[in-house]
Amino acid sequence: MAEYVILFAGPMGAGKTTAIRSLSEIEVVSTEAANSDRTIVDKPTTTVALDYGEIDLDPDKVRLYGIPGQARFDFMWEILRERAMGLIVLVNADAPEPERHVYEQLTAFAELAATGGVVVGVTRYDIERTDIGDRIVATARAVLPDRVTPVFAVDARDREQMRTLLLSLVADIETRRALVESP
Amino acid sequence: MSTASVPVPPHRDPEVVSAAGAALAHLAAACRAVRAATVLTDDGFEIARVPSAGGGARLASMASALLALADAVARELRIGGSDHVQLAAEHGAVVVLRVAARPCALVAVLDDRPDADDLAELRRTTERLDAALRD
Repeated sequence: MAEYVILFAGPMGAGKTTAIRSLSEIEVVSTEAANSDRTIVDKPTTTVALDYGEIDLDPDKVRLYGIPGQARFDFMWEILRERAMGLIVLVNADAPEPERHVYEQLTAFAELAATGGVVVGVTRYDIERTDIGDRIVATARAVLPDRVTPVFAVDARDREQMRTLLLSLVADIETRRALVESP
Repeated sequence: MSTASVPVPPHRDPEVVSAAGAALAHLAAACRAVRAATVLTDDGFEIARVPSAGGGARLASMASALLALADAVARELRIGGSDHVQLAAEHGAVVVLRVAARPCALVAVLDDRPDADDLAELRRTTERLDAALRD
């Protein structure tokens, strides 16, 4: 049985907490506080430490950690990325410049991206049909030129879609591990 | 997005910042064990701090995370809500206290583990700030 530690990263409002709630088979540990500055993102609460959930992908166990989206909580990024084996970057397509957030997150977690698995999930993609997908793929390729980074359009509320994203990440981790171990 | 109906966030509200600054100045004068202190929003924005010079903005976000984690533990154990957190380290201590039922908190860094007088003064500071914000 393998155990995977996965991080959910992305800007505030991308759907990280929702995604973990969709996937987790245990009651999610959440650390939400009232969002005092609605001029930045208009939502009532925001994660200030972490979200934690678990899912069994028989026979493997996956620990799901959501990290706060705001840079002022980057100390939590440092704590959690030390244990992480894979990264799911979530961005919402209707935010301004979603590819900039992809750039920032992949750059912040470049070390994890180099050694572990990475996938990008684009939420709210159906709101605007533009070239956002292409721009995000190009950004991921520019930041991580030595690897293929899968990009999915997902609904964070949809368990099956999030499960597909997670399975893709686990496959990416396994593939990279096999490549490292092969003679 | 229109921001016309969005309230001013506490950390940018001059009245809140002024009241927090006054409460912290009183604390610094009354409690010599306090090395630094900050009033913060629940989601980790710094409202005011003493001493005002120097770094320390991360203290607000760290205190916010500490309080939220303490709440998560208390929820998990079903032992009710938490109104303060204490961290005792080798060369100092940190105390985070909620300001009544408001979405803000006080964090103080002390030279040593707080005694009963220190804790009482910290508690009085949150009460003083709560009263000032009510006026």
